[in-house]
Amino acid sequence: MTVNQLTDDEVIDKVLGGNSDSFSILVDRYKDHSFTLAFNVMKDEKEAEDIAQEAFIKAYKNLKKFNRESKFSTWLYRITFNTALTANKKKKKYSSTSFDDSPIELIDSTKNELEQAEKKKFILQALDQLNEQDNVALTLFYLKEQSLEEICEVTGMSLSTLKVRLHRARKRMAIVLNDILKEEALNL
Amino acid sequence: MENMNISDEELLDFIDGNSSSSEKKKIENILENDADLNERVKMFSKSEGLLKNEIKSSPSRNFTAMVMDRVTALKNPYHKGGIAIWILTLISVMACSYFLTDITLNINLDFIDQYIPELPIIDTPTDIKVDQPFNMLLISKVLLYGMLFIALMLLDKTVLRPYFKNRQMTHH
Repeated sequence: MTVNQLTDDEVIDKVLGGNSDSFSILVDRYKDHSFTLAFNVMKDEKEAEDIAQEAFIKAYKNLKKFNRESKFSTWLYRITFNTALTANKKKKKYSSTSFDDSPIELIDSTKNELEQAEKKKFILQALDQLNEQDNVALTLFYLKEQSLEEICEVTGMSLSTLKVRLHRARKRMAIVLNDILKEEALNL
Repeated sequence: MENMNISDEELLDFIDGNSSSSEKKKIENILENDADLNERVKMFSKSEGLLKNEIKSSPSRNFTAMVMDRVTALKNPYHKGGIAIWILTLISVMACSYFLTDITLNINLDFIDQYIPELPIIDTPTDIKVDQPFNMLLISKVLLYGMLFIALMLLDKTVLRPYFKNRQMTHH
């Protein structure tokens, strides 16, 4: 059995048994989603990376307390979400996000990378219209790894609330993205 | 945003592929003649496509290494269980030193007298007493063993562990 075939529970058992290096399997497995959650809340790569790292460290320190009633990923995303919320509150005290101040400067990037960076910028701009809970719910919904029930666990919403807010958020995103894309097309 | 009796919720279910066959047929029929509804479907589809494909981001390449560095740092002897090991080791060293000190004091050195020439007796005042508040022998032994222990710990942490870890990584 290769390392990648181990289930999360088996990896956790290894870590708790003293093989802390095995924790890197979980980091590799969930770093993208954890980072995406943090990035969509913070809208800053450096801060998002710090928060995702912090979330993994908190998970490592509290691994013994993880009761395994939910998936490890659900538990980790909840930690990431709470860490990002706390950091964002502190950040908002001192500054406000401005997308116009952060132009995309990828000197050595290919056209494809530039296009992708532009698209990411539009998504962030649109996500900025949502509150943090809706933002995270929507991110998890599109990442497609978590069920609606698991998204409820991460965000602390009830299932009925989540469904209503997801619909509202998707509608809002469609309108905002449509406006942004139209504006961009006019500017070309 | 809502026209022709088709709500946005219904439209999103249609785009997700979650609408019933009758609902699907109904929307498809309306779409054939309704430009407005076509526009709404296009708008939702564009946004859904963008979000589904582009929402995922990735951290820097050395992200895992950075997290694991921090995990390794958590295991250093100054943390949690490590502190207990330090205290236990210190107690052991002190107890061991005390034991050794006792043995040293009980050694019979009388046989040395035959090799030492007799020296003239000099009158010395007998009422002078030198008080030693600390057992200097014990303290010096504790320090000696303590330093030896620290040296071994440093050797383990700075040379041996990185060496064996590198060797393990190379073999994997």
